[in-house]
Amino acid sequence: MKRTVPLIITAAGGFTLIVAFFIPATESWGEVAAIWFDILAAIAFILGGGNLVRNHLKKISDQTAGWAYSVITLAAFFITLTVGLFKVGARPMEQQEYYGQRFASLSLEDFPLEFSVEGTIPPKKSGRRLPDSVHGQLVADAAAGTISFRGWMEPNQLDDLKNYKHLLEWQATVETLYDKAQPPEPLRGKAFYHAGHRALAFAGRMSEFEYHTLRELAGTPEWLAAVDALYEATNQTAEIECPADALPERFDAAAISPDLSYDEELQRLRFTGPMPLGLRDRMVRRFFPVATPLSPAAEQVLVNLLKQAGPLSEAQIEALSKAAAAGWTFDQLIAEVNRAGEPVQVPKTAREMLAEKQAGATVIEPMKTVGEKRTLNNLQQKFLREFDSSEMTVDDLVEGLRRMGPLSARQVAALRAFLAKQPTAAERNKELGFALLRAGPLTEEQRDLMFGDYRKQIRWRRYVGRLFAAAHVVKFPWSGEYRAVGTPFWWLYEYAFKPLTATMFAMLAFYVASAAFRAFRAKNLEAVLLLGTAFIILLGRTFAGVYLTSWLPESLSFLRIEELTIRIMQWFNTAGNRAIMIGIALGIASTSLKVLLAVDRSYLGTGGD
Amino acid sequence: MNRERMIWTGLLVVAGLWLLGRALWVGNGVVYVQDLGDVTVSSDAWEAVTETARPSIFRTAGLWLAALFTLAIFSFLYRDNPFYKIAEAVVVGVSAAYWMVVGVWATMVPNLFGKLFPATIKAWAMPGLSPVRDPFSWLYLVPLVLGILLMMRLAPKGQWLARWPLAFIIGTTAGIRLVGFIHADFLSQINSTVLPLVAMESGRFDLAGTLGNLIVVIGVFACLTYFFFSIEHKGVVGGVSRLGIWFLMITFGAAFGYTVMGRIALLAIRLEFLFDDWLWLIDPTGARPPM
Repeated sequence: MKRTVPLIITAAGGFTLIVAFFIPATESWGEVAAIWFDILAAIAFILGGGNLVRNHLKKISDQTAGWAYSVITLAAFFITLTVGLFKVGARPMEQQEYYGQRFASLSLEDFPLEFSVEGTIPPKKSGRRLPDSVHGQLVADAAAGTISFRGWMEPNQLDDLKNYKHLLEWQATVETLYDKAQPPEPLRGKAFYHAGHRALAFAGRMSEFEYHTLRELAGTPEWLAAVDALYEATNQTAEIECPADALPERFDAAAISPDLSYDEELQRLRFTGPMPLGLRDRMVRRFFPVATPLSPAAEQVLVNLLKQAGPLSEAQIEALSKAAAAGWTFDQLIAEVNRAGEPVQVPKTAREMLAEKQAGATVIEPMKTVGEKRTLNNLQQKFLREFDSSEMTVDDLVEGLRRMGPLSARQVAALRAFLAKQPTAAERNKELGFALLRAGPLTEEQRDLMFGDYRKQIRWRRYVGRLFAAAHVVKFPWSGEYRAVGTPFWWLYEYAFKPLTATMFAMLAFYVASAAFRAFRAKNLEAVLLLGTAFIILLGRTFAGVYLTSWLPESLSFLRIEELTIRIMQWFNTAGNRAIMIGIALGIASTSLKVLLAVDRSYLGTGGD
Repeated sequence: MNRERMIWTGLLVVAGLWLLGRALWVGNGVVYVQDLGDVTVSSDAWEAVTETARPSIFRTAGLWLAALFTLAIFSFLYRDNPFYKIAEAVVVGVSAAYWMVVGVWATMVPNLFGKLFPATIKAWAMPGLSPVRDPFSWLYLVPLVLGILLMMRLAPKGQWLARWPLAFIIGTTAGIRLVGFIHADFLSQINSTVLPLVAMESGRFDLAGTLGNLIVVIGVFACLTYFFFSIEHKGVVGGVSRLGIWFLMITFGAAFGYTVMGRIALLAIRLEFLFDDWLWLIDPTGARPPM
């Protein structure tokens, strides 16, 4: 038991991986064995931690020399372990939090709606089962010749099912089922069923009408309870204190969302229902509009204002001009919108391709072209070039462009996306202020002029952020990244682990240099070769080395130190390293075989226990 | 108090006073953050100029601690001392716990518990995980049991049971290495060494390419001859193996040069941290507005 079983385990583990490499059918065995190895390696770290605790506790208990350092080691160990294991301060994973949605618990068995279409689930040759994302939701009734889906199908489930088998008939059936397995029209895009989370979900605030529409879908007590809970959850109002002077100029809550309101008397900002990430960002960008390119006249006005507020050097004016020119241009925007006006290739649906096939088509193209070429006309371009975000919103801009000529939905989306990526006017002014500061000092008044709007924007963003946090109910508190920036665990890594280990390695520079100084003597040809190469490589990686031989003419450029370094690495070092690696590979292969065949048993130790 | 201790105490006091004075007048070593209401993000001294970023006591304390730890490690260059020992004790404790935490969250939760109890893990910590249990998930009981046996190393009795998981680790390592090294190192290296001894480029003779290929082929052959100990290194074999030694010496010289430069680069990073991030004596990246 003590020696035979380990030998069998060693051989079994090793040969499984070797077999998995040579026989494709057993590839998954190798993958499983590799995962087991990873798990055991992780447990080995726990063993290491346990061992550390045991040894240091013993040292403290025996009060041997240096026991106080053991106390420090154990304190560092337990603090790091606690904050790391409990993910102290880690925010939930943003992508998994379903911001803007509220959940109500509802198991799949209690979801009362099932949608059926005619068809069968095609078998997979490899015996692969249906995708996990539809597990328990998709059922086939062979007798009736139908397949049914319980719940509302989500786009990722449609994709998974279509990829399950690349058969047009099957994919067309799935598309039909997808269209059927959707909530009724007033709830489409708002009501969801996340089977994996066993949750009925609703995006945004649920209206009375939507509530009754949902309730009328089924009458089971579980369903009604879930809808009631969801209605209540989506109608909760979050509020925060927000002084009136923190509100942006021309603040209009209704322009953002009907669920947003401001109580001027109590100075409170309120939002009813869950707030999506997009709305949070829109609340900032709506009142702090995008920076439009500065015209020479506008730049001059800014310079004059700055001069009124304090001295401004020529270097600063030049820096300001350079920084202002670095922003986006209307030409870029026009090109972007025109590009979006080109016809695009989109994939055909399986149903379209099936119809073509049934109509007798022999060659079926998977893509089709949609849309017609639309470019901005002169009037539209002129209107766009006159866009000033301080006087006009992006909505007004779109409206104006539509009035002056055709504008496709893709063009509108491209225009909005382009502008959303650009800095706000406040952010642009801040950058201009930084450019001025790099070139010379600024007075308090000048700083206020350049940074005032940015201060207001960040202050408003802070209140919006607070409201956003208050309106959100955390769904997965443990889903956060344990190494997230700002957490205590990150702090210990960043400010203790990283500097300490890096400095320990850095210190080796001194010891390597000192050892080399004492050990290296150019006593024979071999030593000269070693020393000479090291010297060239060291010099070749410094500016001084490159500078030393930069005077050599082009015809002798191969003698320049950086060229010599490259040649040594490319030719001589490659040859030497290859031979060493071949030797190592043979050594490891033979040692591994000795271990697997139980010729080498040294790892079992010599004792009986 | 002996003379040496007095000198050191004096030096430390002077350094401490200088640091205190600099921190008060210059405000060096401050780390800024920007509070956005729902999230606090890292910021810098430039944002502080706009009065939208505030100093973070938590992170500033961390930076100062990191600087002191760096100095404590460097103090070993003089000789072993309590500062170094404290830093050493901290690095041992933090790194042991760090790798434990990484092992738990990066491996054990997704690969072990996530396979055995997928629905629970999904609801608890990994919302993106599939809740469907694999039909062969029971296989993962094996590493769980082996893991428990591994922990027997800490038990007063039955430590021999830890040999079983150890045997698995040794066996799988041997299996992976055997195939991996033969495939990636042995065969690939031989394959890469089979080079044309007359190199052509765009239909013309390429002198540099030919020379390079010749050096690589001859070099590998000569080095391997040196490693071949079944024949006495005399005559032609002796000559070739001597050439192999020369190649190896050049290789070791290059490796040494690279190692030294790597360590010096690390040292430069640490010094930059001290003089730039902490003391604000230099600012190579323009991370702070001019004083």
